[in-house]
Amino acid sequence: MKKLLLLLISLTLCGCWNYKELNYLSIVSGIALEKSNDEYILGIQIINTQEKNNNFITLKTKGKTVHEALNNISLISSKKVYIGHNKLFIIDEKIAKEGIEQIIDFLMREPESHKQFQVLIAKNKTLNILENIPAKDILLLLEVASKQKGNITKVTYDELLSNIHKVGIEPVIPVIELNDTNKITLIGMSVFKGDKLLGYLNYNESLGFNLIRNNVKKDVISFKCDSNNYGSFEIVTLNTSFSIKIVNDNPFVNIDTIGSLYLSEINCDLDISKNSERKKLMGIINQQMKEIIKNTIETVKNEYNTDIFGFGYYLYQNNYQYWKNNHSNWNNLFKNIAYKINVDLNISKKGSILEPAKEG
Amino acid sequence: MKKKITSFQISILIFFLCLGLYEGIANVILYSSTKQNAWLVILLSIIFSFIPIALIISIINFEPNKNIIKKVEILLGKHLGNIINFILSVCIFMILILTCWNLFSFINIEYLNKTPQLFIGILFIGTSFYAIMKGIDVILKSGEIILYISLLLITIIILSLFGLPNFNNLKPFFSNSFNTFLFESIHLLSYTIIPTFVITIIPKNEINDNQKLTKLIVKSYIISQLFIFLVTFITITVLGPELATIYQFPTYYTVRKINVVGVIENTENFFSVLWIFSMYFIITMCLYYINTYVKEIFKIKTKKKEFFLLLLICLFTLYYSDKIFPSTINSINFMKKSYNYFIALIIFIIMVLLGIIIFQKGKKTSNNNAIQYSNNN
Repeated sequence: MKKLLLLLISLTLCGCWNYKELNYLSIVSGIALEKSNDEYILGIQIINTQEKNNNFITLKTKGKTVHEALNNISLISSKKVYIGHNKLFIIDEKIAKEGIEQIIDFLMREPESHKQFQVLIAKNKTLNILENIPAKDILLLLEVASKQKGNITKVTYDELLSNIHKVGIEPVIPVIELNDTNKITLIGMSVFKGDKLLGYLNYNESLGFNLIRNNVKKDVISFKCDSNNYGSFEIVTLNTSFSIKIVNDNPFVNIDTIGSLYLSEINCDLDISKNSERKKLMGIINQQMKEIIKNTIETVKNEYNTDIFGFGYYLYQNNYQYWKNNHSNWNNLFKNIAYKINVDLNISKKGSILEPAKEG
Repeated sequence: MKKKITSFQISILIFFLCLGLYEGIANVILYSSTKQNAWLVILLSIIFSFIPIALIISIINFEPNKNIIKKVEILLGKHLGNIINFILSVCIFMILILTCWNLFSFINIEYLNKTPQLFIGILFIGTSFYAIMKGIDVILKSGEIILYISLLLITIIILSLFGLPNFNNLKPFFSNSFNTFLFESIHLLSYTIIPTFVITIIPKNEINDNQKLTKLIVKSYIISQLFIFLVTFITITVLGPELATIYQFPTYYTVRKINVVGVIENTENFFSVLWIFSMYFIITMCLYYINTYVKEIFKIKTKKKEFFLLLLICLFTLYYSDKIFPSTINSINFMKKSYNYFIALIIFIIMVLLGIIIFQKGKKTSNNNAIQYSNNN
């Protein structure tokens, strides 16, 4: 009896049921999605370990749903598609404008997929991006840009989903573009309302958005130090926080930015060893930062009227009673929201020279 | 004859039994109705949990050399006792089926999505079958070993979570009505405390150091409730209430976020192991309960007959755990709408009934003792 039982166990429970040889798997490193008429066009980038130079291939299929399109890969590839290692998801602008909820559902349900992959919006030629650029290069670019540039923030799939479901905050996704010479550029952030794309923020607006959301780690920002010349500074530390008070039953936002900077370039006649001149310079820089933040809020309020900053979410979390009474009117309140910006940046480094290198 | 069972082993068993039905069932319902306030509900449920705990302890302490089946017969008489025993066994069988379904579907969804649920079932039911045939002391001993493994895994998970929690996710506090808090805390107890009723199948006298039992049981309940509180707190602060509401197994996805400089990754599997152990203990103890009940009914004494009886029960469980719900939606709906009324409430009413009779009997005995004492004097 025991022998029979052992035999039964070894035959049925050997763990080979889900067994798949690596040779028969197509490991997906990136997914891109476009829409043509009523059908989704899905592009998947597959890691190709056999080729040294061209180490990826891109397959394209169509389907009424994302899953159908993915399943149709079986018609053009003999290998089983495995999306557990997917790190990138590029959504076409056209789909984003119609609403992304329909396409994100599948990847959410699919147990194989890790929900930590990066999401990008492509302004054009979505599938061409995956056909020409390895997903790992795009990810590396995104990683470097989000650390070095203030206008780019990485958004993972579960962060996106969380922001779609949160009250009082709307999602944003970084934007990628492919130029005519098949080179990619990250151009800033896209603005959503719910799951629908409304538009894009330009460089300074994206920077302003990231400043408010305290996402800026580093950037080099130029400023006009006199009527003709520019200087630039590099952000060393930066911390932005906002609080909201209720004044006359209307929200009032107080934005505080503090930090230190490295004066990296001055092309004007300024002697920063003098207190008064340094003060003047800091005044110019702080004013410029204020302008960036102000212009961003004004653009988002007036052009898009969507709360990507999370002012509503702040009220939901910190003044629930007010939020409960006013959330149905939040669009109106946000459009007319009053705010005050305080920027206090200080020079922590000035480089290795004392005076401008320019001949006076 | 006393087996090599200790009170500590019983308390470990309680810890695992409390956790089993939490992930995938209780927390899904809890997050959907109370969102970020789920952790507050658990704190409230700790207070309420003392009622069922007191009832279970009083049942355990009554007639310490008998199991629950015989105790019910003594307390309610032969005929009513048989009916109540049958009802209890059916309820335990339902908990068994639900646990099996929840566990098998978890493994099916997250790990072995091409493997038929039936084969996943064989893995666990087979292990439980073997453990039951070896005896309750083997089941409890395995619990003791598993506890140390679990503690190691829990420590790794908690240390790796450093830096991930965002405490703003807990806000706004008290955004639900008090009625919701109250209802959900009772709801939670039905998943975490009611299944532990199965421990009453172990006669107190079979435990070596049973004088410590009551104290250890209370401690174990409190620790397990606090552990559930910790799990919920971490899930909300790391994952956020929005994602916690979407996923069927939110703790699994919370732990999946752990990535310590690319060295400590995939710790969700640690969590799975811990949780699978808990589910395994519910399955084993429920099977043990039903097996003991059927043995009592048919007066089965020989090991060979017990073997076939248990095999039959296991096959029956396997079949029904595979067929009971056509989909996850049905199971969640059943757990939300019917579990409390058809299973948890029935068990709780029987517990209260038994508790009252035990209390009255105790009172009568102490009165008799007092009369006897005064007569003697």
